[in-house]
Amino acid sequence: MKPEGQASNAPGTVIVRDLAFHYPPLRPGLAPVQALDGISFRAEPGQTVGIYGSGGSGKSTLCLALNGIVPQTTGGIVRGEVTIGGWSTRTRPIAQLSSRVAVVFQNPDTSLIGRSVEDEVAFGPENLGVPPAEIERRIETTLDRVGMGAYRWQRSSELSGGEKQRVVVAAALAMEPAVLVLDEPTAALDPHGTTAVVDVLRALIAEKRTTIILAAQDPDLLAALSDELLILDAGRVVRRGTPQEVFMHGSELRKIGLTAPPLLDLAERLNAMLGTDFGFLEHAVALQSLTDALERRPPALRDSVPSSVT
Amino acid sequence: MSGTHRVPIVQVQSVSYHYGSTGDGAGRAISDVTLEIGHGELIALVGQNGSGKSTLARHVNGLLKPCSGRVLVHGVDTREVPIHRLARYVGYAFQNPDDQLFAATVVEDISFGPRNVGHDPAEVERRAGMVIEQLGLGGVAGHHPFLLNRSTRRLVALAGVLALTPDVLVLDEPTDGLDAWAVDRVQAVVRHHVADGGAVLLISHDMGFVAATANRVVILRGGRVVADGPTRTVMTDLSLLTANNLALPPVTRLAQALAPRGMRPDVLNPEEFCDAYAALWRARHLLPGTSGP
Repeated sequence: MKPEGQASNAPGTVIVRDLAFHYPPLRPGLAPVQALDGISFRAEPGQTVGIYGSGGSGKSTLCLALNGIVPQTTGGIVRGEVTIGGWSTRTRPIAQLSSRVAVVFQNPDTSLIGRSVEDEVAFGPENLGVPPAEIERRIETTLDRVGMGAYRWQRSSELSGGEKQRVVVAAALAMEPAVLVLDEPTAALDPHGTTAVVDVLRALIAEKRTTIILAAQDPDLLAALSDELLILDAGRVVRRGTPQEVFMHGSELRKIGLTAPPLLDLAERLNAMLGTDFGFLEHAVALQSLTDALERRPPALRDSVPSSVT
Repeated sequence: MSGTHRVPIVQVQSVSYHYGSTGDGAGRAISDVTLEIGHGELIALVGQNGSGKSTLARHVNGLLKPCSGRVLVHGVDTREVPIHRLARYVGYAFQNPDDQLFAATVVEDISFGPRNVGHDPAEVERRAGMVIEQLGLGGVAGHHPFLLNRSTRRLVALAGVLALTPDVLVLDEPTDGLDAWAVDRVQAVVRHHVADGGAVLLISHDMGFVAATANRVVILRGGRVVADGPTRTVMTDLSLLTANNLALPPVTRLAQALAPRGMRPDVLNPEEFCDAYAALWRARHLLPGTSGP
């Protein structure tokens, strides 16, 4: 990886360098409200950076700083820099940035305006001046991708919460963005819908080398997709690494209102009860470790960590 | 389920509903749903996106009226009672808190409901104080709701519903977008509510939360009830869940995979899993008669 801060011309390269941001004061005379403090990371085409933080940690503000809404629409004070393929999100017009960055917000109702599903999906590419035949192709492929092909002529206002969110994801994909920013994309989805979105994102990474910035509160989702995971607390990055490295600090996560993946939580409870040394995130590894620990004799407390699974 | 000595709070009787008049009948609807919600019940409504969960829940508070069949709340047909009267008996916390928050401060928002139904100022204050305490919102009582994060806004919205002391609480995806602290608060509140003789209907995709919280689970599919039973029966039935595109809670899935090694296959939460696994582990590794470390 190149050092942070070095300009890049690939449209999908995201560079965030020492970003700090204060929202304008709530009322005249009050102090500006700090939302982000000293955030730096870099994502290249085909990479996924996960952002894990509780409500109020700055996740959503960071997402908005990637498409220029922060600070161009919100106002406020910015330090540091965010660039998308060399374009500064502070100075480059939002309309132009939208040709490279698409954002999926946590509440689908903020993105849908109650027209037919196909109109919702066509809206973005139409604004980018994409030719009609190409828009037609994108509507079809993106709706199929999220499993909503059969709903094309339905009004979006008649869909369930989870179905709406899948339409929003399709609409973002129809922009064919180099960078896709997702803020809690699966919060309204059932497990089936979540799996569908994970599959779509994996396909985008593999086929289009899309850069993905994924902010979420679902540790399993973040573990499944992130190359690098940042833990955000009160606007600062308090830990970063691979999901495996980051999630191993379960008690630290709980202190800032986050959950560890459910199976890691289970491992820690068992360790406290039995003096074992379990540490697993995924079902298959957990099953192997727990089975081994029952078979082994005498009780071996040394090597039941996942690395022992070959 | 009916043979109880008390009359259920809510009776949904052969209810069908379809949206608009598109006439295709297959989507966006519920068909012939019968369900009773009794005192002390904590019921989870689960099913795929579009299975009709929210549609059914909106019948319970009278927001939607059945096309056929009827919904009784305390024995009264919801078609015969205005929604604001039903709101005293059925409280509905929406999935999106911004659908219900509007006042300039948290405490004003929470006070609106009790004041609106005619409680005197001292009672309004008492109720607002009580739910603020219950949900741990004391630190933000004077804040503007829209300056709070989504997790806290959802708690404020729930507080506004609780302040009306409804018999039935309907919670649409109560853990969606909540941080761990807020999830614990919600869980404590719903348990307290049913312990007090109230009832809770929660719509959720969070199978771990459902298994750890509900005492009865109803599965909807294509607008019909396909299963209705005790949480342990429904949430440990792999073939039933799979047939309805649902998943076992993560700890239950793991326990079932360990069943050939002697693990109890019907655990519902991490505490049960750990107790069962620890017993197995100690039996294998420690001499009979010794207790664990």
